[in-house]
Amino acid sequence: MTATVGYAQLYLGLRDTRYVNVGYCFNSGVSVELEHSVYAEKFKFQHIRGAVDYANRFGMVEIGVMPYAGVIYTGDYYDLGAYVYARFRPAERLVLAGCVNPHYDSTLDYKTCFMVDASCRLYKELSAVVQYTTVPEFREREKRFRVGVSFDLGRLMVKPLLSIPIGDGESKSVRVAVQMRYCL
Amino acid sequence: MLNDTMIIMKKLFFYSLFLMMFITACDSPEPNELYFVGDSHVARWDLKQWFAACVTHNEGVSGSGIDYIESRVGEYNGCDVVVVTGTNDLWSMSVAEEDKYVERYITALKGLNAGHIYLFSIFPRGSRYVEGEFTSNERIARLNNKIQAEVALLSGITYIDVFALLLRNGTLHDAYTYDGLHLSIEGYELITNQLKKQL
Repeated sequence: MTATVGYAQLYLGLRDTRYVNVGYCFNSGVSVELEHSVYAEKFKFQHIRGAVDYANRFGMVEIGVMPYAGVIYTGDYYDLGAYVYARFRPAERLVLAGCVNPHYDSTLDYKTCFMVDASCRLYKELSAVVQYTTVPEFREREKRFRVGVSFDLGRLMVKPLLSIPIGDGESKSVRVAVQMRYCL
Repeated sequence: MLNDTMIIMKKLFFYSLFLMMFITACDSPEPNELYFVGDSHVARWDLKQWFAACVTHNEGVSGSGIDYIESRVGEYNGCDVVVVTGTNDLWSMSVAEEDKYVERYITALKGLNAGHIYLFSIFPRGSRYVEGEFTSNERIARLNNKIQAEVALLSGITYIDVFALLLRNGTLHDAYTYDGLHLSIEGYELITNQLKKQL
């Protein structure tokens, strides 16, 4: 859900440290993306996902929708869903974003997840980012607070985030969730 | 502009590095060296990722059972050992043989000659791998209770009960497994956290 309206370009990316993706943005604001997991597991346990993203800008607000479908190679489970998101720039340095994610996992059933995000440009290409999210980083819906920085260097965006679990200390740990996109 | 950006990035890199070091320093110190022995749950455990701060030895063998633990007699003189085993033995013993199996289990653990043993409960199974009474989760729970009762009488063994944590609706939680038997990243995250609490 990082489509940029109006630019035709091929891109390579990384989501939550463990998912690499490749996609193409058309001039019309539509992009297509293929994502593949890089778990430290045998190939048959890897996950592949395809998505289509459409975004459009209305004044200071950008609204988009990104339906996706994915499956594990063993066929033991598949997932379907969509990110319905909006980005709003109330001030030059501040960007607010929100996302609703209806998500269906064939063995974990349906859940509605969401994320809210605020980023503030600190200095030139450097921004501070805070997020509250229940969007799964793997399969399970979990409440997480994510904080980090974003480097926007033209064609390259790198966003390392510390992902901190909220409420469930038994099974969850702090993770490093790196987002990256390079436009070719 | 590029120089300014590079200076900022360098500063942020070192600040981030310092923050990471501070966060990890606040954790309780882990042992310097850990041996992991058992079945495929051990063999597939990415120890370098989950235990980056200590030296680990992965001696898991897929498909192995208590006979593999017995073959390691005297191997771990004074070392700390993590043991995960039992799920592959379920088929080879009847209900009447469970008590004898538990005796054999405890004898095998003692035979490792370890300084300290961290013993995980036998993990539950997803519905696809529950076939009749032999591999039912009720039987696994019963075996775990017997083993835990014996271990409680011994010193030098910490029993880590993750059976209930991995369960949902009576079977292995789908989020913690890829195929109903082997753990997923979230499953390993759970058992790693439980182990680190005891270390």
